Amino acid sequence: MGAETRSELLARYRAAPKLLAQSVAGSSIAQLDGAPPEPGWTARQNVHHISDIAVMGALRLRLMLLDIEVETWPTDQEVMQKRLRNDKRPIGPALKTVEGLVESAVSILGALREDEWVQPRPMPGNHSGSVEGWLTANTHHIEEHIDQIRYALTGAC
Amino acid sequence: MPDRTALLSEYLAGPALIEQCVANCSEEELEQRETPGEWSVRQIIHHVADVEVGDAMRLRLMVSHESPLIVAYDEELFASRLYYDRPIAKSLATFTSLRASNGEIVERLPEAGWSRTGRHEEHDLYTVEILVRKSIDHDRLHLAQIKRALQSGA
Repeated sequence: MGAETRSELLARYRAAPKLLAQSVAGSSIAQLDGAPPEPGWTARQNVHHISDIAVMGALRLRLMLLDIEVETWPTDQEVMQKRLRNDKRPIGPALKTVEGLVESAVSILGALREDEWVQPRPMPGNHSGSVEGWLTANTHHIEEHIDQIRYALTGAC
Repeated sequence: MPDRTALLSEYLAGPALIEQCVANCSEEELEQRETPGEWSVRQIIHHVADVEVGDAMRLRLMVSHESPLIVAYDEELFASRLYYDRPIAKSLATFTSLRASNGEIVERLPEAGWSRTGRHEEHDLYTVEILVRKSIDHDRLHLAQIKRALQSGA
């Protein structure tokens, strides 16, 4: 990944919390909880899922930079949705959490040397990954679920 | 039975107390520490934010999965390798927003939810209630440390 591509990706990552907030801005409770046109999570559930994965990503980034290998975390997303009551909780704290974690990650990423971006880091299951890979995966994840939120809201009345 | 309403209230209040304590600190004051070799005020802020990230993950795992492994982290390693010389604003925002989100999850737990467990590497028993109590103690400890650092002028 060249410096320009990385810079663009970082800008997309940093912009994601604002796009997320905009995607649900003005939505009523009924809209947030409305079923999407096809089976899937509601807008509210997607927001909480993004927040939950942002927590995981924030910890993963820190452990990667410390070269600490952790075992695969048990993250059954459907179980998390149910047990964390993601269909009931207000989305405000989750939106703030995503914003805080993204800004915090950007702050850390901004301090990295060039070699630290591409250095192989331990990942679960004897795999390795790089900080660039982390940034790519975490940016795509938020963007994909923003698309799902928009889709869910099209089916909500 | 413990007064969980009071516990939750104190748990939620912690970040604001720390934020108020450093709100008007100059860059020089953020570099102050209680004694040479101790963490600076700036490092403490990054530390409490990073601990909250770990606790957020622990809480979500304990609430949603059956007795997950809770890994202990080396806080000195975090401090030495995660660029704790950064500005504190982002870490304060992370600490505050995560605690609100964590508190919101705890608040909605049924009574039995407080007793959900994790297998902590360093503790025989680790539950959601213990996590909350430890967070409150951790806030108090570092708030007092920040106050002493700012008073010492070292």
